[in-house]
Amino acid sequence: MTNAWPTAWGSGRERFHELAGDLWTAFRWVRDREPIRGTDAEQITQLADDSAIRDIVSAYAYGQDIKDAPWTASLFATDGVFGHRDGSGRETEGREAIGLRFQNITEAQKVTRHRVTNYMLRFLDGGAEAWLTAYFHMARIRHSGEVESVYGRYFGRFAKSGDQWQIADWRPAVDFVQLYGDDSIEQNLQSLTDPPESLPGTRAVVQGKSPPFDGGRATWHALRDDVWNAHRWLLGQELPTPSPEEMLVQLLDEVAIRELVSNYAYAHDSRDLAWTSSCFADDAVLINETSVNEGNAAIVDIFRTWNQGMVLTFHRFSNLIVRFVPGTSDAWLSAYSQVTSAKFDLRYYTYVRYFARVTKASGQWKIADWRIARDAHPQLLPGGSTPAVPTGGGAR
Amino acid sequence: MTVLGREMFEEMVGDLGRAYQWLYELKTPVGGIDAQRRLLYEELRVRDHLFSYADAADAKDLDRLVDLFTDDAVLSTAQKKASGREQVRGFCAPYAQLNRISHHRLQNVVVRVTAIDEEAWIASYLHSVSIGADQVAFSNYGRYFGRLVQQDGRWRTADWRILIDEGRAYPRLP
Repeated sequence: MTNAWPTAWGSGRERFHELAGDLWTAFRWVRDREPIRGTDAEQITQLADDSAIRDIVSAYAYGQDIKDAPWTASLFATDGVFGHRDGSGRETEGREAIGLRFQNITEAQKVTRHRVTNYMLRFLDGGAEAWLTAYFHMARIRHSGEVESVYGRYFGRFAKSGDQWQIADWRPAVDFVQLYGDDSIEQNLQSLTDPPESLPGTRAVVQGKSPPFDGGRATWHALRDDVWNAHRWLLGQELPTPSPEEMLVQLLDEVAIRELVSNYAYAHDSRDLAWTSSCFADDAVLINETSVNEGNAAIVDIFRTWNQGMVLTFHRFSNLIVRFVPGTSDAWLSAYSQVTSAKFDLRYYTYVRYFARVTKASGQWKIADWRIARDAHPQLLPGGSTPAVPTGGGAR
Repeated sequence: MTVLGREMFEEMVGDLGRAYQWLYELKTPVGGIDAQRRLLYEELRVRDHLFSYADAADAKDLDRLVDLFTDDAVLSTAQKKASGREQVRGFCAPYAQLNRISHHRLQNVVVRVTAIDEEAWIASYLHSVSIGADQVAFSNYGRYFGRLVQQDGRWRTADWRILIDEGRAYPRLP
């Protein structure tokens, strides 16, 4: 691996805004850098920082979706910049102003789900700065009932303040909007679970219930009725910094847990009940709005019921947050999923959030407690699309 | 760690459900701290390679897209097979022409590095959304399964299977 930190790349705000006018070019600029650099110890730190920065992006999505503008703005540096400097959109500078802008953006929608994929991250300036490109899909339901999918890309610059990464510059670019019509939406609005009222606070403050971070099932039960709060509880956990050796083990375990969730998706979508069973611990618990299923056999039974009449499903997970409980074999996770399903000629989207406890036994991670929170289930109707905007558009 | 090769890919590619399960359960020894760091680094690079593929396709940059494949790469779907970079280019070119814009969104990614400087495998879900010249929007849901080899320090795709499970058009309403 290359150890040197070239200085010719440039870094900082000016360089960011030079590239932010064309996110296709920005992507290639990011891609052409080495993923991690420096000494062995620096590389381990960057691998951990890579995970921490993805968490911030998941937190950003969560903050927008729960409509907590001050909390979302707290992810930014005090002099952070949101938006555009190239004339294609409005630029907002400073955490407070960004919060006010987010307030206006989120109030205009009834429900949003920001799902982020295709992450690519590079460290600059000796590891003190990180740049990210990613795709986003914002599903939104307007107050009038229209369902839309907004597809775009993020370009972000992150800087470290003490031990904490913050967003220094954030440039969203919308590429196109897909419309699904609105004929069937009113009835589906009845099934929506709106996020609770925006809660004041900062990232360090856990709102509402705050049971001990001990990895036990009692903690999961205490949190599982309100997955929004559980998500925030998880994001708010401040954990001791592990040694480099421990950090590497955690990073490998984090990859394994992310893959466990992927494995769950594949198993569910394949309709293979034995495969699904293998994702869960023997004494696992699965809870959704309508049922409590205790033990692996009962969980398989509920999957058998769900599979009836379903022709196709695609569980696409994103925005995963993983936290390990020190000194135990447990970890917590939260995630988004968008499920596309087909029943005969009908097509649906289902927006789902998960809150789970996973546990490692005999070297294998399994789901121990699994809470499924289904938010909305709109039918997809032909509705066309807005004109494509190849190099960016309105900010979200 | 062992190179599993094209024969293993061909053995698995007929059933991507089984192929995924095989890949997920494939254990690669990680060894000590240096080997762990190296493994995480290579897995990161393999995921980057996948996202570069999506970006090149969406940017309609066929030169960059083809450069991600080996000289003797094989790209296959249920109906077609393209062998070598020029055929891969020929396979991809019509999509670049037809789509005004597209996003290849990749989720549920699993990576296994089977030989640290030589071979890696990848499986993922694909959600491809695009808008054609007539403003018709398309959503395709599918899966990728691939074998990568390292050449001159870069990962390149040697075998690539694209499976579209479901596709639907959303025509513009009058």
